[in-house]
Amino acid sequence: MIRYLAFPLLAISLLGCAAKPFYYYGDYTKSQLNYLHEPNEETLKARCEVLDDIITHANDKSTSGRVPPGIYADYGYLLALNGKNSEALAKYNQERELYPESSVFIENMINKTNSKATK
Amino acid sequence: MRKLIALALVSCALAGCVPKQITKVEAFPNMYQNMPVTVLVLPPINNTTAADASDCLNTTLTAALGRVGFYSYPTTAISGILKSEGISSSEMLLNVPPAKFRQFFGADAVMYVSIDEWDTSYYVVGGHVTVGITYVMKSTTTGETLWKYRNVMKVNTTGSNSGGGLAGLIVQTIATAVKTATQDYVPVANQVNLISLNTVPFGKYHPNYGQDQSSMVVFEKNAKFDENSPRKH
Repeated sequence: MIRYLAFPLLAISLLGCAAKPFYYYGDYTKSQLNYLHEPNEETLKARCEVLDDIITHANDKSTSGRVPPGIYADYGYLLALNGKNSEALAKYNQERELYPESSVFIENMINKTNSKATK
Repeated sequence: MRKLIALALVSCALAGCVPKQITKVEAFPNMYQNMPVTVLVLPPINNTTAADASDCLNTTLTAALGRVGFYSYPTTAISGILKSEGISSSEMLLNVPPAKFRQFFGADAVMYVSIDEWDTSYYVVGGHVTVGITYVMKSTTTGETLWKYRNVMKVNTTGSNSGGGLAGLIVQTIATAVKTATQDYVPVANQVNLISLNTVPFGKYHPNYGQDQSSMVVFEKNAKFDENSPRKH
């Protein structure tokens, strides 16, 4: 079934202007793609800034007032990839605290980070 | 004359000119009975030649699923973990029993996404991308399908005509070429996700959780397809 959307971006941006979103994601997608396509210090820094922005503004820029699911975990993974293990663990714990249903996943991530550290 | 018109209308409706919409509970009763909290989205299977499409779609899916009220796992971390476990292609994941995802990730449900179509059409002053995506969500406890949707959409990538006149038209032409050619797929992916995931029974974090059963937003044809047969082009 083919649908033709005349002004999709306009419509969606208007929606965004009208009310606060349920979750605030900032520049999540673009910064992730930039880092994925070209992983370097610059794109990493930009990515961390975006994640920090999402966390800082969860309260005032979203109706849920909550950091979206997976954000702390994503941040932790990024930090672990770049050797910042203790910071990664802190982020993982924050994810588990906010979303207890993530504990099986977080346990695995913590174990991976710890086993990398002991190598 | 009136009989002819009546007959035409009936046959039109029967022929599917008017796409039939059904409620969420009518389309996806299983999901209301077996509502997942955590949903693991696997990296999309790309059946097209648009190589950038799957990365792009993958990054948009975390947010898309979060917005409809589920705990959604960060897709980059998941891709990374799967790669480190030796799973290099998404096709390999099709053979993994859903229960394994529950075991390793604590996921209540797993979502399989395949990109069936991603065609750019460019005609100087206008352009669009035709996107076809199939989503299937399965329970990791029972293996049954909770939700599925198959959608084909044409998304406009025409650049805006700022200023008008010939100058404006030139700007628009360039803007269209840039938009269509650089394949800024993020807005496209977001759109398709938004429209398709709008039909998902809301998860526990959504403000309208448990209140959307009679929401008539599901196009029957898009929801009732044979998930075991690939999309025909």
